[in-house]
Amino acid sequence: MVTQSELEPYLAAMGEFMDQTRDPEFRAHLEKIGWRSGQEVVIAFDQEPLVSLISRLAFNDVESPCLVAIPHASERFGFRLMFMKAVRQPKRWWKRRHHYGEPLSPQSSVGMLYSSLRRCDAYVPSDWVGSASMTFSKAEPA
Amino acid sequence: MGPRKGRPRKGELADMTIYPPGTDGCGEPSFDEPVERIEVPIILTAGHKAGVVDHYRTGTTEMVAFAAWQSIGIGEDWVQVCRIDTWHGSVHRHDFTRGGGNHVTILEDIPIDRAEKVVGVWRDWAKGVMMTEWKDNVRRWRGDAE
Repeated sequence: MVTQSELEPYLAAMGEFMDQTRDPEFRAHLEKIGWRSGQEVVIAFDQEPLVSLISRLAFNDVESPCLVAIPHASERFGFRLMFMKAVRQPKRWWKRRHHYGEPLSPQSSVGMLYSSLRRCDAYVPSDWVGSASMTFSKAEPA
Repeated sequence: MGPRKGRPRKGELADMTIYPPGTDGCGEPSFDEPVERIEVPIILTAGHKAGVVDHYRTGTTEMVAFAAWQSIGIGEDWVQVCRIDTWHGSVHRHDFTRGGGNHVTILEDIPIDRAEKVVGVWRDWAKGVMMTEWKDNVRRWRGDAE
């Protein structure tokens, strides 16, 4: 059972995100990057182990695609944003890298993942998460 | 506006509405003029999810209606523990229980002449409730606190 103190940073970020959605410019930005009303938003933190985010996505049966929102004071709207998408992995291993970009290491943190995303997406191999792989792509900053 | 939900006061008509099973009888309104609707489900930690639906005058900060809720994961389903919304012309709060109870508290009837201001203020309040009462609401839903 999660304690109130464990929940607090997530609740604070939730409150911040709810505040931002009142700004028409933020709503326009969300639309511009491809987020659609009703798509789930997952709160994550820079220092959080990537494994923790992945297990939360799996445990909560989050629908693909979803938006991962990382609080970051230097961003115009207070969040770094990236998309997670579940994809079927090609059977042949040499096609995987070409298809999805760079595979991620279990030792990565969410911040490391965000910083490493360039033009190519990064993906979580299916042996981490079951039948489907997850790919992450950076949303265009505001 | 129809009769309010809950136990009728003396001299007041009872709410005889028959609600379909599995719903709380409180549906999202439709609007005569175009509005901008945004729905944001927010995953927090494992088994904890918040959600908000806002209706704005298109492209503005003027909010005409909202609903904000707190959900927890039970098995494969999400169940609402608490919801604050402005459907049906009043700001009201639903406190749900595990047994299917739905305690409704009317917070304010929305005045037509300054609806946006009232709705906006209560939206901030609803956010605050979710931030500060999260665990208390879960305990109440489970029946651990009364």
